[in-house]
Amino acid sequence: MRRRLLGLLAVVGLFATACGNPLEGGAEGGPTGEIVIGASDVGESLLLAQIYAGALRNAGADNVTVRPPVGGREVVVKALEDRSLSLVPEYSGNLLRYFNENTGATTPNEVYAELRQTLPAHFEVLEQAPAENTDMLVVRRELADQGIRTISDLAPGCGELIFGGPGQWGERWKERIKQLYGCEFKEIRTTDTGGPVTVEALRSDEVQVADLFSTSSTIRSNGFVALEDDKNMFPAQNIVPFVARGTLTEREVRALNAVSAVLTTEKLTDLNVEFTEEKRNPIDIAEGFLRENDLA
Amino acid sequence: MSFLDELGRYLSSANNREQLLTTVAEHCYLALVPLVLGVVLAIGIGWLTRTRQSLRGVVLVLGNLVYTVPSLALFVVIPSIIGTKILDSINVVVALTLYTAALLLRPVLDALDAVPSHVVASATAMGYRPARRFFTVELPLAVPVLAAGVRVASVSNISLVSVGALIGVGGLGVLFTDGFQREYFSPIVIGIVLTLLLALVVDMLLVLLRRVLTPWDRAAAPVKVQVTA
Amino acid sequence: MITEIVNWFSDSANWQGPDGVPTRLLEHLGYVALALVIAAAIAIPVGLFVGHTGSGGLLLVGAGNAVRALPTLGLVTFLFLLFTDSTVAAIIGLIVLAVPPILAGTYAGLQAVDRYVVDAAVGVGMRGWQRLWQVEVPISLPLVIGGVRNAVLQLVATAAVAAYVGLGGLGRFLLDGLAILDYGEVAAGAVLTALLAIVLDVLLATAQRVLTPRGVRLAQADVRGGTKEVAA
Repeated sequence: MRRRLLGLLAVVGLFATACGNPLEGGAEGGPTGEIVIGASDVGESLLLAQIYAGALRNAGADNVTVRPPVGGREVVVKALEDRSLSLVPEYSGNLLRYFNENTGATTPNEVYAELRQTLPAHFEVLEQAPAENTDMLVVRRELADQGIRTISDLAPGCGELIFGGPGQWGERWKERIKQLYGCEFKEIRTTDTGGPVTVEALRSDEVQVADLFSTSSTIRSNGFVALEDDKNMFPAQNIVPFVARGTLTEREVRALNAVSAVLTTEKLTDLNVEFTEEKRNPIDIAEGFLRENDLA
Repeated sequence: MSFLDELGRYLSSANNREQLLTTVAEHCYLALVPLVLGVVLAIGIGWLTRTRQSLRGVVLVLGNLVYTVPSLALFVVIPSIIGTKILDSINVVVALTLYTAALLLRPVLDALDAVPSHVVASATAMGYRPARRFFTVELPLAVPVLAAGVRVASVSNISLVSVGALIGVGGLGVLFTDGFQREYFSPIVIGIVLTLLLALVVDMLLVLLRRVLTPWDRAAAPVKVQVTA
Repeated sequence: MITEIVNWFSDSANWQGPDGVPTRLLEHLGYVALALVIAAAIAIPVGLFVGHTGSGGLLLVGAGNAVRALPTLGLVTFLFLLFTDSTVAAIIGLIVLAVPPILAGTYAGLQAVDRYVVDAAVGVGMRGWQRLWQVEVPISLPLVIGGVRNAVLQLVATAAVAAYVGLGGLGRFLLDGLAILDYGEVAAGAVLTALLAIVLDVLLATAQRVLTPRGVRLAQADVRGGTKEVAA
């Protein structure tokens, strides 16, 4: 019986090790450490993470992993704090708002400068890309055809309209949009963060106004119309690597800055189309992008 | 394009195939480690409570309670209780270990009860002390009943690991969240098929394992298995 | 964590409106109840028919077990892409997952009816229908309700997961809270979902005991005294 027990344990042990151990260690990075790149729920975030990963590997880092996407900014910041993650692609405006709710900065340079000042010491941001992915209030073509092209146009009719967006949208913007545009929606509903539930809700007229993102391919492909933010309620949202300080070497930082330098809004939108419409694998897309821009 | 075309395109990417292999391996680990730990835990609790009847009642109620808690609820609450990092896959392992143990408590206790008393008596008469008797006589005889419970637990674990994708843990669940976010059928269908295949393979391995552990059963004529709910 | 939960529960804003506890709780119960009724309407007649006539039983239960291996998240995301409506997709998924346990319970219940009892019923002159409703069903009721109990557990858990594809109910607290790391909301969602499952389970367990026919209860008490054989 003892032999059988040992045999049993051996089989189990073999099986378990064959399956591999996904339990991560720390992500302290550095010359021998592991670099773990995270992504948020928004599809493009995963794309950017894979591009960063590819660039880092090309720069010689050999222990880079990309984690599956999870949750929103709060989760990601916490993970960077306790070093479950080393770096995340972020958006300058929203990141700044997370650390300073009352910021007045709106242009890309203002936002970036204030961000560098406001960030706690254990975080840092690398150079930002020209590419921006801002929130957009989006309506269906029928509503836009009634002459509504900007949020100011929309404002008088807000009271009859239902809005769909991410869980925190109401908390973040309800007061501001009322202040700036005089717009108070009939109802603010939680759908998701610019994902299929929101798109479907807008498509089926369950909501009349939705919060989608400017580089998202779904606006174009569904014939939606994005309203112009004529009073600049939404701040600049440049793509910027958000890093737990001390996890990257000089060389790795340079590699990421090189990526940011060539990333424009058009390129990012094209990448999104490849990801969401053409359904290509994100690593394939990242490899293609790095090659085309001589970053391979 | 037709669904089969889409599927073909998905599988033609080497990176996709590589990701599938990694996720299956992760899923394997996340489902099977808790299975083993859960069995050990249940047997341990069985050993501790077989002589103390009062504890038994409490333990069974607690086990039932744990099993009743919905998986997603348990996954999100564990980091707060045991202080793990929020994105850590260990949360899933702990939760599934608890489920497995809860599921197996009753079969373990029943199985240990069902060992014929004359067998226990002869073991004691032969000089076996309680621990040795437990491991070399009572447990092996309990294997057939345990095996049924372990098979149910394995299917359950393999199915539940996918829910971990909602808290960012790897495994086949990421195929479902990816397919959902991009309105893409292929990863979802492949994920479902792989989950079912994995459950089938593990089930067959467990049946094999049970046969290895109970050589005395092979000598007797094959018995028709009763269908249990 | 305890303070965060207490704070969340004592905030009255969390008890009102479309995001409040009562609304979400009722939504969740609604989905569970609807799916349960439809699943039972499918599973019980099928289970009764198969159990009574004794044909195709193993195949059906085997297929039922295979469905139990279906990953919840995979099922609801697949259905959402198919039907594009959160509620429809979720309800169908719930029904699919609830049918196997109820089916298995019904079938097992009928199987549990002793051949001699059926024989006696025939001997007394009962016809097929009478045998079914006056003998087999009452005896198998506890196991059928056992199947319903399993189904309800599955339903409460799955409805929570379906919040991912946009469904309402208690799952919303879990997922929305998780997205912004509001531990109070997350833990509250977990506690509420767990409590709901436990309460429903206790209610059904009581129903199981109450609805056991007196004769069966007496017979079971008799058996409990003796030794049990190890089942192969």
